[in-house]
Amino acid sequence: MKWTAVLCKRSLAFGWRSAWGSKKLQYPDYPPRIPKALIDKGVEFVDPQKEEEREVWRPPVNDSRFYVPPKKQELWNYNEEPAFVCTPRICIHQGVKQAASLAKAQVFEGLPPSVNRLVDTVDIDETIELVLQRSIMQAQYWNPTKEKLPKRIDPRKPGWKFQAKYGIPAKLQAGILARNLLRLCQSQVTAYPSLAERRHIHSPYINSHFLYRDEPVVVRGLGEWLITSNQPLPRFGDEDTVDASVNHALPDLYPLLPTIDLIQDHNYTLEHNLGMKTDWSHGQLHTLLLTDANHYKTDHRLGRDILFCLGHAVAQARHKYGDVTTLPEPVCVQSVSMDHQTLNFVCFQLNTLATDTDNGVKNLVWVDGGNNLYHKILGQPWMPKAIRFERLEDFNPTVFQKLMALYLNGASELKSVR
Amino acid sequence: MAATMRRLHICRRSLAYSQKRRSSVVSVERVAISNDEPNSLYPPIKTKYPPGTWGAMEPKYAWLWDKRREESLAIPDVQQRIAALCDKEMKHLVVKVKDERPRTLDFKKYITKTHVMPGLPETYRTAVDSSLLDELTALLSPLICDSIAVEMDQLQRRGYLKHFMKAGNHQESAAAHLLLRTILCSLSAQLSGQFPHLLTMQYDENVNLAATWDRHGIKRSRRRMVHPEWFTSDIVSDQRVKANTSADFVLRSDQPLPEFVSHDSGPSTGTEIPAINFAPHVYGQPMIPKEKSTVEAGYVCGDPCEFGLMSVLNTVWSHYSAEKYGENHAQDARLGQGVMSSFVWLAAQAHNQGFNTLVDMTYPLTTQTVLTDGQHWQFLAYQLNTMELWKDNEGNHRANLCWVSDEAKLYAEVVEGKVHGFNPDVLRQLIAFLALAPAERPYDLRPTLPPTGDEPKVREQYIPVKTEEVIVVEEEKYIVE
Repeated sequence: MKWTAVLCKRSLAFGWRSAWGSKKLQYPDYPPRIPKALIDKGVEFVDPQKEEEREVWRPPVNDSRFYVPPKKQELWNYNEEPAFVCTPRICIHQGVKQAASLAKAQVFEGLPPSVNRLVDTVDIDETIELVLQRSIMQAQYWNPTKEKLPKRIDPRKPGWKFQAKYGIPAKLQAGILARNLLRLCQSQVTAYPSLAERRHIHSPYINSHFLYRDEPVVVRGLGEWLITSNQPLPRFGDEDTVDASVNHALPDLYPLLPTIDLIQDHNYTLEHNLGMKTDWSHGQLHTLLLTDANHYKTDHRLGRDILFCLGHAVAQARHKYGDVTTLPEPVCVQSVSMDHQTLNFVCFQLNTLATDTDNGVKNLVWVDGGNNLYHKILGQPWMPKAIRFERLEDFNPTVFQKLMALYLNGASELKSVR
Repeated sequence: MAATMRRLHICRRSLAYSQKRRSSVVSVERVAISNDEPNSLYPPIKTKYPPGTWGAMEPKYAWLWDKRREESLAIPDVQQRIAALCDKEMKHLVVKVKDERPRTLDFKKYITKTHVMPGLPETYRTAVDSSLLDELTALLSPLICDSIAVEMDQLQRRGYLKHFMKAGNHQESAAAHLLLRTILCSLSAQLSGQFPHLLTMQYDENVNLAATWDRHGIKRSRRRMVHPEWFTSDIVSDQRVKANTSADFVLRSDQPLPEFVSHDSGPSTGTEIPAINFAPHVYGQPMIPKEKSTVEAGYVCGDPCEFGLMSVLNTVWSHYSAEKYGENHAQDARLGQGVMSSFVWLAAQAHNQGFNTLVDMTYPLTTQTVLTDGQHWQFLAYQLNTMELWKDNEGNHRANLCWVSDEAKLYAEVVEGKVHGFNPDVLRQLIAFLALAPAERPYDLRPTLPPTGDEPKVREQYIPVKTEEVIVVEEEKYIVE
């Protein structure tokens, strides 16, 4: 980024405010200059401008107009000891490395072999490709929402004043695309009848926790979609891979602790709540879908995804097997995080619940990030006409193939392929 | 300066007045010639009324409407035509779509010129195979029961439903919205194998709809210039009306639904719409000061899916109306919402095909509307036959039609994760609504507009496909031949 133009641009606002007060027509009251002799004499001074503190008036009956939210200390979930909290909006700055250290996980690049085989099986015909392109266009341009968009800053042209733009906010764009992609995946039920057993839950709630060096790490918040099934996901890594993970050394972030980016909060509950009752027949976790509308890098999002997969898997394992450390069967969860154009995939296999030590069997994670479904090129109004306007390019249906493979993972019709 | 401005103002008025006087001279283009002699020396004689039926309208005022129509027809672009209609700031009668007040249904029927009929059209018996419907209902009933049980009982949503609530919405409304979303997404995806239009359709949520039109029978004063410095006002009987609403879910397609009945026969013509007895403000409909009109069909121009398949409206708001005024009034309020929403959506779609209050429709547009709070379901089928509502019944004999089914419960209650009293007939009707396929009409859908070369619905590619660059490394040759 060219900083010269930005740095040379003089702004008098800070100087003006510091000299004349923060608000317009309000000037700071400097303390009165009292002669030292008077102070020594013991004269009591009363500041005439100082207002007496009055008692706060409380309505005699419950009135919502005068509602005062309770303090954090008065809430029912207040604890003396703070816990580390991970939410969907958190930024894990060291990304996959940091999350793997927290989740006691061995990381593999790309999708698991069983899912990779499904990617080759999935076939996208012309109709699905057309619907896919229409879904993108609907999310980008055809939705009639007109909200004021945040101010754009382009590092290629610092100091350029962009026109105020009204359109579809990034969060809504991601939401519309996610909804359409899932609907397209679900429409394959004619070819794979076992997909009828999938259940889609919008905005699922999670409040789970695990221990990192004897300190609780709480994973909580609302996702965009959660897909559940009546059958658990098949394991991603075989037993040999799990046994080999004993010798794997977890990444070291010294001198930092991997919990550095997590929020420390006193208000939390240590529970394993997947937002649903346990006796539901279709309560087996399949895929979690998260949407983003920020400028985090792919690595940051993948780190957050790993922690959320871990939170979900731990909650499922606790419901299934109770308070154990060694699991009789691994618990598998998939995650897809996306913004308006990029999809990141995470496949997580929970082998152990002993996340507070670095020894022993590790959990397994496969990450495949930065898959661009298309490329949105923002307009450059300072340039010639050919590249002045915004446009979409490089449509890549292979990314949807990967998503479809993840969705089809676990279908009984594809058992032989896996 | 002020004097100059004043003189300029008077000059402008004089110019406008002189143009107005000149315009009253017989126009050669829009007159009917009374004598058939080809070599007549006399100029053509202006007929009393322009072509068409005009009812009891004054001839001069009829010619004015005809002139406006010609001006609108002369605009070749849809967006410009809508802009020309909406840009003029006018006083509007604003019709409340979700209206808690009792006894407004008749007013809404009148303002949209809608004839409401009980039962659903015959199309649903002929267009969709009955045995297939029964089969699908039996197949999908467990899925829908499961969805209801999950949303209403299994999921612990009560604690965080505030995240889904829009301003002014109640928690019950948010819960119903989530349930409806689950049912619609599941059904549309599961049925897309049997009904391909459900795969290519577009699904959207919380869509703003708006339309504007003129309605006969509501008096207003119209300003008229009689001298450059002197205006007078006439009382005319057509009022500009506008309505805004929001549909919770809409399904759209690139082809229109088939018409339920013929455009020019049957109940579409000759149906008497009862007149309203009171002024609009008595019904609680406010008149707003001058402002521009709006037309919103739930999509922007360029979207190939221009025609509505189905809209689903959340009716939880009417529960408070039921508490205040009783269930009968609440039922009327819901029906009023359905009629108004259907009309507004279809009118906005008609605008995007080049029709408006001046240019009447040459073919009917149809849509399906579902009124539901998750438990109680009512189905509406609406056919928009005309938008020329500023003429009286004699001048325009067409009426818009609305078929209404009885309200029925989808389920009785959910107890301990089990759905009790599930009614498969409601699900069957919902599947029938989704199964009704849009069809290509044998005529031009935009007869008043010139054909455009690149129509969005015939495009097969909207985004260029990524091309993989193959890097060819040439072997270096050390021996020069």
